[in-house]
Amino acid sequence: MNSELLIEIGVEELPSSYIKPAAQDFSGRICSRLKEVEIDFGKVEVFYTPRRLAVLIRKIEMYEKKKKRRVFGPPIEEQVSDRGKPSKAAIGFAESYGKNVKDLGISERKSKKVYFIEFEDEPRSTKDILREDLPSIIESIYFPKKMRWEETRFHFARPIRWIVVILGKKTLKLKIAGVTSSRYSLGPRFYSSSKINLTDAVSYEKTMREKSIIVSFKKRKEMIKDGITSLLKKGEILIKNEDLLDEVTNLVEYPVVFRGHLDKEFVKLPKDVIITAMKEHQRYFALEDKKGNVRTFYIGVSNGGSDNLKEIAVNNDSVLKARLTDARFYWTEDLKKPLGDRVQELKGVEWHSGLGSVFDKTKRLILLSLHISRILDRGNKEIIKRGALLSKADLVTNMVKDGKEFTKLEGIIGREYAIETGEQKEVAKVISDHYLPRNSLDKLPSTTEAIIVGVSDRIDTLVGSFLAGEEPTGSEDPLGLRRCANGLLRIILKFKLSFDLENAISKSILLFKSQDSISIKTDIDNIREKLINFLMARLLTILAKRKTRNDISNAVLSVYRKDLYVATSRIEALSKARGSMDFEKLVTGQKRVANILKGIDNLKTEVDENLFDNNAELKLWNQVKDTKKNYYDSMREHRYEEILKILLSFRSYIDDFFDSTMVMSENKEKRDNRIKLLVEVRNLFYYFADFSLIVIEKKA
Amino acid sequence: MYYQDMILKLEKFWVKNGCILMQPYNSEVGAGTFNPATFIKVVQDEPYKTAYVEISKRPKDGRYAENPNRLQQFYQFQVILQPAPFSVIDIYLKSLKSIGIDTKKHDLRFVEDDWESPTLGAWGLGWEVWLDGLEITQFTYFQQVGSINVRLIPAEITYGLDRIAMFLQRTDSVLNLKWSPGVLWKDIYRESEYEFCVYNFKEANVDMYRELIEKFRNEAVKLMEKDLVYPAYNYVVKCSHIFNILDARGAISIMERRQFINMIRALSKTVARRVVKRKKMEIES
Repeated sequence: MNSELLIEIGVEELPSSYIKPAAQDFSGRICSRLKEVEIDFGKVEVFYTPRRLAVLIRKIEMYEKKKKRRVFGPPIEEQVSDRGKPSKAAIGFAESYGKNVKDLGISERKSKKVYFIEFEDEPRSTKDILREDLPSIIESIYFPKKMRWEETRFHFARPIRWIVVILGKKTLKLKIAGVTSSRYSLGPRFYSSSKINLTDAVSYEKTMREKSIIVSFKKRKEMIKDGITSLLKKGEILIKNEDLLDEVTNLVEYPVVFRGHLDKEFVKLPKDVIITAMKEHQRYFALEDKKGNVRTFYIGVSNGGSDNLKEIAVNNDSVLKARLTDARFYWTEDLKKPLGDRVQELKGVEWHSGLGSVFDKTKRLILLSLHISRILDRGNKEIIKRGALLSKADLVTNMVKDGKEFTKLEGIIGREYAIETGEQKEVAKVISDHYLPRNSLDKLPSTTEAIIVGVSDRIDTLVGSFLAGEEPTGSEDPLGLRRCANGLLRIILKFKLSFDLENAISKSILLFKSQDSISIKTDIDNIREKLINFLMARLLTILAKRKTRNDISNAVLSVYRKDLYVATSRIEALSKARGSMDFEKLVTGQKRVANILKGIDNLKTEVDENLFDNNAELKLWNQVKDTKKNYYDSMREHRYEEILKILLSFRSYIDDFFDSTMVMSENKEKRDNRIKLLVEVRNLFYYFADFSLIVIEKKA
Repeated sequence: MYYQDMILKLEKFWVKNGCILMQPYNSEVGAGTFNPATFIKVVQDEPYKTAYVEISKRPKDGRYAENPNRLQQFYQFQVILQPAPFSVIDIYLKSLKSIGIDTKKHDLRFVEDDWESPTLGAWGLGWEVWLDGLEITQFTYFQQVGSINVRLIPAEITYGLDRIAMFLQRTDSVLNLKWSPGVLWKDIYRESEYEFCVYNFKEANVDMYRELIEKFRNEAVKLMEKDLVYPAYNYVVKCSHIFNILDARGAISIMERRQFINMIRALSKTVARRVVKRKKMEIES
């Protein structure tokens, strides 16, 4: 016999980002508990709004499965003469459980035969199990932050105000956080939270809809999307924002969209400022025209209120106006001073405890950027210098400082102020773009100068944090250094920046050392090594995400990691070569070489052709000599396909060599000579990658 | 509805709901929470209800009376219900109704806002209440006050009176609020608002305030040693206000900011501990 179960937890408004994960966690916990006690159930639906988390389970069995339980008793004493007759121990065992000897079973346990009695427990009802387990399941729902609010000191994200538990047609009574469950849900606030009588579980969604609550997230989202589309006028484009859509969907129980209007006087403010005020502060959807200009209209989503939308829209307009009036106040105040004049003020802004101010960082940033520009031989020095100097100046402007409404726009505000106060466009671009990418989905900087300053800024941040002993450990990464490193690597790979990273890091360390205000306590050589290892680990993850095999990456990175662009080009070439027949055999050969050479020091003397016994030795040696020059030339010129061609050409020579030669000859001279030959071969390969690290899958 | 009538109605509503009607504190505060009628009473952890207007000073928020709703001095209406009643939100919504806000006709939203006052060592979970996109109230269930866990969890309801009045009177600038028949907000406050902005941003004597905050801190410490909790707390409140002025003057570096905040929090913590201890002794005797 089965039925339907509905549980609705009614709460005061949950934070919108908590809702979906919490609802899913809730249903997951119920389901796993049901599975644990073996109660079968069918389809599970999850519903949620800011004020309710609900789970509807169909075809739920009313009882747990019957479970057999065995109690084991004494072993069978087989040496007993009158076989078949149970021992006294067995009789005693049976009687102690109120059973007859006939009820005893026999089973093998630890290679002994023993008696057992089987019990069949009365299955518990789903009702009883739920009544017992629901409180702890509900309290264990995960939320980033929880609170207490009543006497039982229940722990939840916001106060629980009602609970509905309906199994079949019956209310299941239980008490949680001082609230007794019932069949009554509550309506939306805009209808004074009137009582809703839920007659059964299955009609939950429908009943709630009749009372103006859309319990399905998907349906609310659709309503908003359709609503927005219907409000767009010709030539208007919605600035897409999936996150905002999800957030707004979880801020309302019954969405109604409206069209709002922005005063033209604000259009002079930067587009990003307007969008931020609309999106981040007011949760409105911003619109633009085909040229990308922000429109003076927006679309808002109201929680109900459909019969008074005009007034709601007008009220929202004035809130937006006040917000932007504030932005305009910052804007005018800030522009009273050219951006360049603010750099000195950065002395008062601490960059990192013990590592000086943002002004100090700016000074290092200029020098490191110029250094990297030099070794890359790219970028306009003047623009780099000016851009780096101004890159952090907006941190002390009214618009950005103190973690206010527009703080997130750091860089962008700097760019706008730079342009307004007469800086070159390219300099302004450095200010905004050196922060890119801000996260893994963000775009990359678009000018050479911004790229160079961005790279330098990240190296400086990483070096500084490592010097301060704040490298990420485990899942802890409070300074966002992984994100910082990922950004650095993405830029290097995307723009094919070929430079000596070790050198750049050393330079950065030197810049920190030469700064008076800093006392560095850690071992500096160790820091460089640690940081490079950290970057390699990040690189491996990035490459793995691009479907590069780890063994291939490791083969290259274990012999070479100076210049990451070079390293990744080698990895790419190697990945391409992998899969050819020759390649596999080549790797096998190299593994053999590596095995033989394990523990053997480099031998000083040269290979002596006169000591060769067979043709295969000579041919391999000739191949080394013939290709050497081209090989190293190609290496210098980064012609990796050529290199792999050369290396692959060794395949047959190495195979022949091993087929016809005993390396470990009894003759010491010959043996050493052969080893020397193999060392020559190995060194050649090793210069490119450690092939012995490559995994060759055995084919079935 | 005139501004003054709105205040009267709220006072009447909450008195009807069992609150003691208090008055604003007599020293500058940044929020109603600083009033001992909240800070000290809540720490005592006993059933308690109060309501009062608080004139809150936020030097940094001043806009020379040019912004429609940003000011260096706000009118707040503060309500403390300890413990928070089961239907506290419904009661709050009724209070809105009592001043003429028909919540059925508007977009009412409770938007997550985890309130924190670092200087008071206080935090709680709750919301900004939005009415048609306008933040009209801060609603918080205190979890900790004076760095002490509260047992009898209170609800703090802080109405932004200026904004609510603007909403009710359908005016989009605080300047034009009708305070009483024939008197506008700007008639009363425009001059002082402007002058305080000039003072806070440009004229406040940084050296004097730096000296004062040090002296006031020492005074608070000294008074605590003599077990004079209320006078000591009064100096904590003063330190907090001076900190806000120095901040508005742009005289505080990020490092200093942290030091000042830590200093004031340490003071309020001492006060809170003393209050708790005194309460315990009272119960025991």
